[in-house]
Amino acid sequence: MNFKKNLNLFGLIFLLVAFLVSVARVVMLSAESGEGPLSGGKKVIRLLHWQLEPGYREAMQDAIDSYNKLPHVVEANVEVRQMAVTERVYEQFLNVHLISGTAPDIVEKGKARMAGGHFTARYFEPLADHVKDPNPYNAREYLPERVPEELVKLLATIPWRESFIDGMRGGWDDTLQNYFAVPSAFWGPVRLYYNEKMMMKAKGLVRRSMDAQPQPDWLANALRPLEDGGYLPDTPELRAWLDNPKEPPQTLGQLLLVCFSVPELRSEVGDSRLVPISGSSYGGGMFAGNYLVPFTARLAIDADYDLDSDTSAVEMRAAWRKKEWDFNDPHMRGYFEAIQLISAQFPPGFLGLDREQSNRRFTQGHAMMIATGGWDAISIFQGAENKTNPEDRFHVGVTDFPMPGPGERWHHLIEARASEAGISAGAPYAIYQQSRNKEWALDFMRYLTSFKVNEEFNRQAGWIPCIVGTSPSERMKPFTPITRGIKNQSISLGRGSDHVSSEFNGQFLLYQTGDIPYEQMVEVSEAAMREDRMGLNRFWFMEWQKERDNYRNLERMLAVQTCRQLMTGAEDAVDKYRAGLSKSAVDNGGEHLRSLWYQVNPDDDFPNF
Amino acid sequence: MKTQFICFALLYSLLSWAEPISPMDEAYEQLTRYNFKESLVLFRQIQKEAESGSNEWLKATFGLAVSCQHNSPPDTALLEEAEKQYKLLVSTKPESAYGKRAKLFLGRLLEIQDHHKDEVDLEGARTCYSELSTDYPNEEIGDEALLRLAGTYTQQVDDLAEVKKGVVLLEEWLTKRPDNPLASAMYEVLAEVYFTQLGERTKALDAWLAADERGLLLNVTARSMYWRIAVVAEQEGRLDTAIAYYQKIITDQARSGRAFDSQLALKRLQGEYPDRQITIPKIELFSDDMGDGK
Repeated sequence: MNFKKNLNLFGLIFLLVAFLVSVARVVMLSAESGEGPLSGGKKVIRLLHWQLEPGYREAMQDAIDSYNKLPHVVEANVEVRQMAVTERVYEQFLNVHLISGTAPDIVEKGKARMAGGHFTARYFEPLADHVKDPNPYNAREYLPERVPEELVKLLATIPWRESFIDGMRGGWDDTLQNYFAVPSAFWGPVRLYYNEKMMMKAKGLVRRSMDAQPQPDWLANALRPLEDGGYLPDTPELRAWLDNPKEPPQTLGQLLLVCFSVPELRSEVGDSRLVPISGSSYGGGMFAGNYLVPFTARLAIDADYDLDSDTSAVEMRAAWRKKEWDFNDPHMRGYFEAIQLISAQFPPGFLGLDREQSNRRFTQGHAMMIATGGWDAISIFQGAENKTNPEDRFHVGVTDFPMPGPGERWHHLIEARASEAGISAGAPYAIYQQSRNKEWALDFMRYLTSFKVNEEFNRQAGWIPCIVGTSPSERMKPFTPITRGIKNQSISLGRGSDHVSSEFNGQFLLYQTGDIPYEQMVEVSEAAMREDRMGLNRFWFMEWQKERDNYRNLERMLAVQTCRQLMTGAEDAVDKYRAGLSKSAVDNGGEHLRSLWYQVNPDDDFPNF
Repeated sequence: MKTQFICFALLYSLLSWAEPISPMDEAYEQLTRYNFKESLVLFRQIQKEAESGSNEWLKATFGLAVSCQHNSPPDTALLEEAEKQYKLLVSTKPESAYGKRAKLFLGRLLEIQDHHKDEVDLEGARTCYSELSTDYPNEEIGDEALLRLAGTYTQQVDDLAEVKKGVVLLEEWLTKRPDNPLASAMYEVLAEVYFTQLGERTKALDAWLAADERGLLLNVTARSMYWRIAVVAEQEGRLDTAIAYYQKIITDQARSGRAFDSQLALKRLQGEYPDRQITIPKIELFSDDMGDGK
């Protein structure tokens, strides 16, 4: 009996102790996070992101450290801390914390379902009121001395949003008509990276082979007249380029020429695994994407029926139905021929390779070139240039995708490269609605996007700064968006997220790898377009439905702005309402799609599924 | 037991620092966060307790109607309640800002299909809009009602006679109130209908120009509109307009992606009309002029 009584008492004491330990832990953790009476008034601002690329966290930490040392920040007992979470779990992590009300104060907006769409207004702070004033960290005392007086005055007076190169468009939500995030960088557009050493060797081999008697087959075939299947002529310009060993390919013909030399180059460099281009399921589409506008823009421009500078997927498919383009068009044939030839320069089975495998193949020196974006630049540069054995190191050059030059195959089909002028700043950070320290969170974002800090931060991270007047590091300058180019309009059945695009994309991959001929890809894709239940008609109907849904969703925003105006007299509510009303009225319930239907199919009723 | 109570109390006090806010403020905050499910419960309670016709009651009733109408996913019972609340506002305080707005939103509720089984009452919507535009011809609510009324006709794209009714409504209104706060949007709508449905390019061009002259309500529209103006003006032989807008694209809308195309167009026009002394502005966007060589 005594034993049983003692056991009960022990259990009770154990429970009590466990409870007290738990409470103490909660109190301690809360204090550490700046919450609770034991926090000593410390305000901890947590910043969450998924950018684990080399250099980013270090650059962010430097920016945070310098902010935390600012006198007014120290005085207010504020401390910013970053939390980096891998992309693989970022979505779940953020979703759970948003729903549970425990999200960090500043979060990189994206990936998570709860961080976008109509959840945006629920979880994140609207910023319109905050971005109309100048950024105090752009005042003269914070700027480097090299900044010209005119820019000094401009930065000190313009609204915070205007200090962004893109006008802070990267943080704007069209549906909600408000800013909900602060972008912090430009992700560098896709470029062609090349192994300088290998490229010089390839060019040397081509140059020597030009004078050989006879020339090797791979060279002779490439230099045949175009009508006999050649790709580029032997010209003084070509030879001059070959004689300049460091200059990367300036034309598509030159790029193909160095690719064709690789099988012979393998024995010269003693690397049987060497491939011309390190393609993969990740990077394989980058060539297809970059050459799509130059080859097909002319067809797309003609299909832009409403002249709004955007050839929608519906317009593009409507033009096909009107027989204004088809896959026999030289622009289409030329494009697919070029892409298949470029894809033949990838390693066999490239679709089974992922981004990391592809990057590794290049940095290990087993590929002459690779295509990827500026976000991979630092890891590629470091991977290639920081090897233990100096002989294995090589310098990485970066260049734009070359277009077919004069006299080369496909030159007459090219409109121009696509302009990158419309690029918006990215890596946007949003302020959590339930943050207890919204003002400080905003203050840090102002700091991070000030001229000096944003430039330093992005240079260190290997990205591109997004504030007016800033410039990237020398190494990253090739990733500066190129404005010389035409509007991004193209023809591709791959756009659309429907049965047709799914069929086409599958067929395209098979064609790209050479597993099926062009005619088969075309036949299957066009058959999909003609299908009664799942083809073009259904797509047209679905796009109209989507427009109707957007039209309906816009009413929500209008209603909220009305309430803001009527219930609290919010100053900006009237302008926001009018902007939304204008969009709603002009969109006309998506009826322009039905109008286009009747123009293309005058004898048929609009489909209904 | 006493210790546990103290710990619970401590925990509770640690965790709940939120200061209490008024029910109306809470309801308003939930509504502005698009939490309509929560806001409608709060507004309903406030409405019950408020004196009918009072300011508090008006706010609560309007908030309740909006929350019911826009709750997601759409619910038939809530949509019916929204209709009932809007009608209540209209009948109780028709001349108030809430009453007028309720009539307009009632029209929207009747006009727009909220879910695939929802019945559209176009005539009911037209009645709401028509009454507002007739009763308040010199107020913005009247302008908006007319814009919506015209929209019910211009959306009948399979019947051009109906579309033209919408055009006539807008044209007549703009004759009487050419500079109303929504005139720019009205001209944009006209331009769209003229261009895409009626094939009247000259009228479309004039309407776009009128819209731009009055200041676009949605700034981003300029990106596509300026290109349309420039191209159509060139096609119509209105060179001064074409040149001005190609230049405007480069200087004001460089991010539209059409700046380079505009430079090419101006170069072409330079060649065709050498006497005009056409200048081609530079594209000022990304620049490394500030580079310090690092």
